[in-house]
Amino acid sequence: MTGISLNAVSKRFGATDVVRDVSLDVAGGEFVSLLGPSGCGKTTLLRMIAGLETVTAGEICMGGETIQHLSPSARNIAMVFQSYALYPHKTVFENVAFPLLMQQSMVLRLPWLRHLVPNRHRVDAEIAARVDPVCHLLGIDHLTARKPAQLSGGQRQRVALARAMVREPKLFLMDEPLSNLDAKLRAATRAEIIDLHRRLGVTFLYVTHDQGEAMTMSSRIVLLNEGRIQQVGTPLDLYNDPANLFVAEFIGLPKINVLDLHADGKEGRIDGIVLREMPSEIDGVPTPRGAQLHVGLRPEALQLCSEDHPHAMSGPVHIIEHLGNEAILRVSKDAKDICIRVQPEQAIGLSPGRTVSFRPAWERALLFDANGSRLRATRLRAAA
Amino acid sequence: MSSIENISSPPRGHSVAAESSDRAPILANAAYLIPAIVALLAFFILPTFVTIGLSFTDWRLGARSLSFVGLDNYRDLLASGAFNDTLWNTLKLNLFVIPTSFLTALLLALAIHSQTRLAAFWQTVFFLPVTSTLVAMAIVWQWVLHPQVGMAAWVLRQLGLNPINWLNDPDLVLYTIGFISMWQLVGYYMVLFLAGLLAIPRHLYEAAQMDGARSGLDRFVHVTWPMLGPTALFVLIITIIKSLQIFDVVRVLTKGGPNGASEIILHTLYQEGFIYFRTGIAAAIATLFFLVMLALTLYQMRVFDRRVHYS
Repeated sequence: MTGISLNAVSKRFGATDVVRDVSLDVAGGEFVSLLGPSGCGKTTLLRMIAGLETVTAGEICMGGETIQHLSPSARNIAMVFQSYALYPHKTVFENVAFPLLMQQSMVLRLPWLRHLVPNRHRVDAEIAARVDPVCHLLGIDHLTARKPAQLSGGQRQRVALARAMVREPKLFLMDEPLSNLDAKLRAATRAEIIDLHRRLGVTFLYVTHDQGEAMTMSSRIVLLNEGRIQQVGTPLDLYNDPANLFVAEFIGLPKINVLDLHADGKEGRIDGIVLREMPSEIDGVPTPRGAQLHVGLRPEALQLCSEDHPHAMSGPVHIIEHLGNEAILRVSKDAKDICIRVQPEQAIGLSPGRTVSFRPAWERALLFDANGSRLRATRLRAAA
Repeated sequence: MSSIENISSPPRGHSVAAESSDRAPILANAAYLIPAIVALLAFFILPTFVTIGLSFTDWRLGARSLSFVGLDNYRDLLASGAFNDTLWNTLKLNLFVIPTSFLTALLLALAIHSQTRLAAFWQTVFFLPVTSTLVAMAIVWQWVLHPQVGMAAWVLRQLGLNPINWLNDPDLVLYTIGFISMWQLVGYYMVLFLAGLLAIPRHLYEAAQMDGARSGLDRFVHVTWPMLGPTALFVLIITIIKSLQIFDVVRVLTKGGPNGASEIILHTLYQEGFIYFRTGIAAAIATLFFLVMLALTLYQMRVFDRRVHYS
């Protein structure tokens, strides 16, 4: 199994740095997602690995060898495009067989001249023997005579997968392959891709902007923003232990609540609540009086309480989302929406406009400095 | 309003009124069509039938009487050695012009499409002749090709070769005419091809690269050419029509000479109709020409439509 490693890879289009100094090691057989908002450079990074973009600086290695000078076809990497990029004039069979056809001699690759080659029947039979099982595996064997225009979105997606799989590449690249499917099909295909990865055992690099997709599918997530890696880790690492405010806000749905905290020596204040054991220094510099920090609280780190609780905050309920197994309350507070995840029965009887009281589970709070960097050493504790 | 009511109730005054109010818009609609129908009849359909009708007569332009001669005009034409030479010349000219201009336009379009910086410049350069008047340009060509003072002769002399009499050599004249006609129209076909090339999604080429299409030939054969199918069919039809319509270069430069070596069907038609005023013969030529064009177009549509992929 071949992994891939990036060493200080950068990409510049004109004056714009699209990918900056990205270093990453992906072990063989891993399923790694490149996650980030649009324009973060994740697709460019994938295209550089594929060989469709040149590398401005840095090195890309596969199986210990530098590959950035190789042409895309010489890298033995398969890619599934967002638009699927099926050849509209070829049948499903011809589409899937195309990568195998391209491995044949020059004459066999030409549509008309290939009829002159005496052993073409044997070659075609060999190709069919490799195409058929792949089509069968993906459940498209009854569609092989059709053209892509006669297929549904989900079927096209499978053809694209089959075409990528057929030549048994060392690395699979996928560029948002599910974004053109409807929600239900997306969930089903997600499971199929996970299954496929397990069965093939090769390395998958998967680009997506959907944190849910990345969380459910990957063994590790690479979160990118503005061309830089923000954090690399397992889905739960990124959720529970984000490296900075961007990661904390990008991962998790509904989004993490961010409250402003005024640090005042060893104490801090949020909305009149005094917090103790504030960091006395940040990056080796003593915390100035009145420094602005951020506290991140996941929706499940807030709970409803009675209004006379010493650390209760309150605000009017703005929206109630009943999800069946849980409910999300959106409470207006200081012009912000605070999300609280509650049990479904707690939301029964609540109506928009009613004021509710809630309190944070401080031990689950995440603290960030004014620049958004995580302050890991500190555990917040409310003063009694 | 309700259709059930209409069906169940016997047809009395109510439904009669409905019928007459149904008929009124039909008449009104027909009235709106009259100008278009009249124009079509007057300018397209009637002239066609008049021409076909005249081809069975011995009418001369301006004559007060005419008599019906049956198929005599056609018989005379097909029996005449000169007209057979004309047909043969026309065929040779078209067999030269159609494939060369089609292929040249395709190659130019591919070359320009692969350029990034100078694409617009080359596009303009090759499109320029399309915008010019061929009659005026023919005079420039006459000078360029002049066997003594022409630029072509000068270039040949510099290379130590004998000047060639491009327009007076019976073996060459058709190809010279063909080249000038091609020069004028190839830019137009090229622009059509470029539009077709621009419409091919970029990701198909990228997918082909990922799938192992190493050479430009692979990408052309498996992506460009099939995706260009509808454009190529259109360009081919236009090329054939335009090529069969070549007339002005011949009229201005050679008038069918030397000794009928560049006599082509449209020029013969012009001579018969407007120099010798033998309208009946000219009409017979026009009818033959029309039939050939019609057959060709129908055949093209049938054959190529089945083979071309429209996504």
